[in-house]
Amino acid sequence: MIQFKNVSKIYQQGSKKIEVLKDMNFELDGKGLIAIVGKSGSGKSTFLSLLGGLDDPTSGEVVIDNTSISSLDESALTKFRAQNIGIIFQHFHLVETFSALENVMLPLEVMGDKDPIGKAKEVLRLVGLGEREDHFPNQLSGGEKQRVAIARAYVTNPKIILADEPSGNLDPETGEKVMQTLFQTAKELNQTLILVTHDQDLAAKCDKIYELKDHHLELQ
Amino acid sequence: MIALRLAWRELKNNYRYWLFFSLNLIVGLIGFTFILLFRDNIADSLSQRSTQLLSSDIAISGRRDITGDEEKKVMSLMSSYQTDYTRLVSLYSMGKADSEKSRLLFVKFIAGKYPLQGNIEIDTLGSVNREKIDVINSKPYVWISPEVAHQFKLKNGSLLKIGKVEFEVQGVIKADTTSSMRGFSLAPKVYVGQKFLKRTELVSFGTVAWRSRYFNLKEPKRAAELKEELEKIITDPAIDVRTPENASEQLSRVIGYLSDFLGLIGVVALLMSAIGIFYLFQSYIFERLKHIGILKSLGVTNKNILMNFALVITVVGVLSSGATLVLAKLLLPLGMDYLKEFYKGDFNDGLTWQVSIIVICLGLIVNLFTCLPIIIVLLRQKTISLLSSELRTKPNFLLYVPGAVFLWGLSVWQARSLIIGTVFFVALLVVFLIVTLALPFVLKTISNKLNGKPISHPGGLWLGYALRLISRNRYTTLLLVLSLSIGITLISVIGQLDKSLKQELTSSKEPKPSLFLFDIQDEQVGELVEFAKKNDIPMADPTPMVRARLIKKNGEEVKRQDKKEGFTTREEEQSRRFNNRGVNLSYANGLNPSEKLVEGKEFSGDYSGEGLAEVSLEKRYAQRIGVKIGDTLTYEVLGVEVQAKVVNTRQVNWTSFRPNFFIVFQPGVLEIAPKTFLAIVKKINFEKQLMIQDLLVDKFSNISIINVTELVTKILTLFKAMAWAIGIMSLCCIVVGIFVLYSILQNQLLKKKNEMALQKIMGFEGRSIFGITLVEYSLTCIVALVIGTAMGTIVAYTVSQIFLDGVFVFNYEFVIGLNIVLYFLTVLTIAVTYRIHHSQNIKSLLSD
Repeated sequence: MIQFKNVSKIYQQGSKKIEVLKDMNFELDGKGLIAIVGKSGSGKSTFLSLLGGLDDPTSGEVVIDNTSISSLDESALTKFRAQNIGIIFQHFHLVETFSALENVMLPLEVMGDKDPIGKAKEVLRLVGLGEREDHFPNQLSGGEKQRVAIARAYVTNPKIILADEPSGNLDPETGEKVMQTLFQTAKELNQTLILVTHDQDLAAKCDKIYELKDHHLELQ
Repeated sequence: MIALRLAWRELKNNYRYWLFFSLNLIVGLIGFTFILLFRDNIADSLSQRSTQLLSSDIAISGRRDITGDEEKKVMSLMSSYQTDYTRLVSLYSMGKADSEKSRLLFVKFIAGKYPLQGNIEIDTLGSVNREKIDVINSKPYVWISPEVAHQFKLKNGSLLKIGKVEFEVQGVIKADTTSSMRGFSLAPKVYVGQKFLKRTELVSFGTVAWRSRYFNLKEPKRAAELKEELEKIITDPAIDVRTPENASEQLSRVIGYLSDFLGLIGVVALLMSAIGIFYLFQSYIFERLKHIGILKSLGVTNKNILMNFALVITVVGVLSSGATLVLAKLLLPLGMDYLKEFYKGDFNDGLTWQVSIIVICLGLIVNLFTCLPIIIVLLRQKTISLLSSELRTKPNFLLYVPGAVFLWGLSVWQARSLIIGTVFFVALLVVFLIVTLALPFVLKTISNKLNGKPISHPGGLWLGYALRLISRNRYTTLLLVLSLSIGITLISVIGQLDKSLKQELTSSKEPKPSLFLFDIQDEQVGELVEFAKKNDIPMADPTPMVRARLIKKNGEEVKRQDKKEGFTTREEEQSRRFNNRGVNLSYANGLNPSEKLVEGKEFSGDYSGEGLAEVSLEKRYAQRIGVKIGDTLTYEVLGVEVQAKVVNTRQVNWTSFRPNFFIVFQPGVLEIAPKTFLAIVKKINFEKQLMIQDLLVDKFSNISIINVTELVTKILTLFKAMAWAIGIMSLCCIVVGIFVLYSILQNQLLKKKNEMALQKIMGFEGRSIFGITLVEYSLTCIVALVIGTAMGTIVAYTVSQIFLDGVFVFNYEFVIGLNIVLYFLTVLTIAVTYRIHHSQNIKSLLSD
């Protein structure tokens, strides 16, 4: 269960205060594909960063499975995130000096997994990159890089996958294929996928759509 | 115009980057400039003082006096040009005071009007110039240097015996414009009147004495012209005709070796700066590929883009040079104050315009030669590749050839030696080649071995992760290792040579003699040997020495070599000196224990009187005069020509302090020639040394004695002083290296901000992220340390084989100490840089 309890987020820009989220209360229970839509600057990424524990709320708390992540210290938050949350970025953010296999193995090894190679290979096969595991990011296309990023997010089998405009940096055809992989993998692994996008067609393929409007999330 | 506008925008919009870039260049230029100024100051100071140093407008001097015939011609020529004239005789002799032991002195016998230029300041008499100088000839007075006063515990009115005469101390020399900034001389100086020379009985046949004639001219500017005329009269190259211009030559040679070596360190500092600039520029330009692609797609020509960057680089180069000159101007007085103290010279701490021009040119050239090849390669790429921002290019090494040629030229210029400059350049090239050829291969092999293995293999996650970064960021690893290993190579050479030289000078394997005796007359030999036996003095058999000069090589006359105008290399100077000066010959059956046959065969025995005599040459002497086995040499010994064939070359261990010679004849050739003898007294304790010294001085007052133990201490002190200067500059060089490392790390960690944020998301704790960074750069540093130390040791070994007769001692204390200090400096740099950059907000990875 994901809960936002009276969450506000205010950014200070010089002498000006920008209030992105204001007393947000939000609850999400159960598995499935969730889309968060909204206009540019509406606060979609801020919502995602608070949910992923990448940033702290100005006030209020974010609770995941009865753990208030806003009150965890840096070390505990890092562990919690590694075990429970997978993140997919618009710009892939792969480790350039690591092969596809090594990129996917990395979170497993941080968690001290006994069989990082076997599990990483399996997920890479799942996203259709079984043959490209020894390739480095500069030898992969944009779509392939994003599929490696997807495999990396899924490999530790986290409860929640956060995806930030995952097809935003790809051409429509490749984007379509990547999204298919993302949805399919989420279903196969029975995980919650929270997708931030401004693409209404893509959002329509999810189980639920929330719109971020006037500092609050509204179910559509 | 478009290039100009683009350049302006580039500087305005990215001023922070260009400031950092400039800082890299300034650090290297500062090191180089300081050394240039040090050298320039010496040259300047010497040229101002050279007239006073020579003490006249023109001088004729040599170890033999000019002949009567020559003197007539010289005086006839000079009569219409000179305004004043005086003579000087100087020699080494033992001095003895009542209460103290005897010691070696450098005695200058002066006559009226000396010095024709400049003055001598005596504590009791004040400034003694040419008008007052003759007071010293009125009675047996002696003016002593402070060192003599201290050694003999002399006061004014005390007596000092030199030869057969007891001189009364009239005063202590406070200042002497005729003194050179000698780093080292055999003995302290005293002045006595020339009137007493004969009474001392110090000058007999073969005595090592220098006789000089000084002239002041009506028109001093005609000195060079007159020098040529005088050299036509005095054709013997053993007699020198000197003008103020070449009076400073001898001095500059002493400090020259030091400043030449320092010059090379300056080149290294500049080179490391260039490496930093190269790294910063290439990483900056690769981030701006899209920008270049857009400019091209908008129709800006390659020429304009190149001009744009060339302009930026030029402006930054000139500004950096300007900043360097300002900083040098501020820092120089501090440095010069110390140097004045250290070298007891007059240093001018002003910047000369020549230095300013050199620094500005260097700032420009280093920038252009380093950066333009990078941009030229990129402009050859297709616009679409530039726009994709994923372009990978390989450097075109041909474009760096002008830079390499410039570096070689700079090295030869700074070392003032074609051989040393080239050796230095080749050593750098070898380090460069080892690192650039072998390292990528090793890294690639490591990378391949790691493929398909867990990241925690080998040795845990930190090491496994770091090894992947090192082996796959090959270009960065290469640059880091290159810049560090070059600096470490240099400092290792110095540390290793320091110990080897000390070992060579103080080695106990073959004990050095305690006393070295010279000026022993032929007729004194028997008496001296008998005296030694009777007094239980462990003296080795005296060795003969015959004064001669080389007149022909393979039948061709050896001509006096004049100093070339402008730049001369050390080799040219050495060859000129060796060809011009008189030489000492000796004869022996074979090699002594401090000699080793290098090439050819030993003497066939005593000379039979038929055919050519056999002669053996010291290896480097043979090289310098350009002679090989089988060549014939003709020497003139007091008007008699002696022809000989070179049968072998020898290596001589000069620091054994045995009587050794460049030229040794087989027995049976020189025995009848007029000669003096040298002898050594074997290793004895200090008290006995002083006792024997006194015994010998009392009995044989003309024999001069060098105390070898004291001499070795003096040489070591001089070397310590030189090593200090070299060490300081090498440290500067290392500081430049650390700064370059810091720049590279700063740039690296800036680039890694995203990766560090990603590591946090993957679950790495801050400790682990720092750990990985630390292991990554520590390993790189260790590789550089290993390569630098190994190369430094190899270079030091080679130098010791050439210059120290093969004595090489591995200075492990220094190597371990250096490695530990440098490693910790690197760790500190990593920690500081990491602290600045690790706090990257991981939220920045998101799209908004």
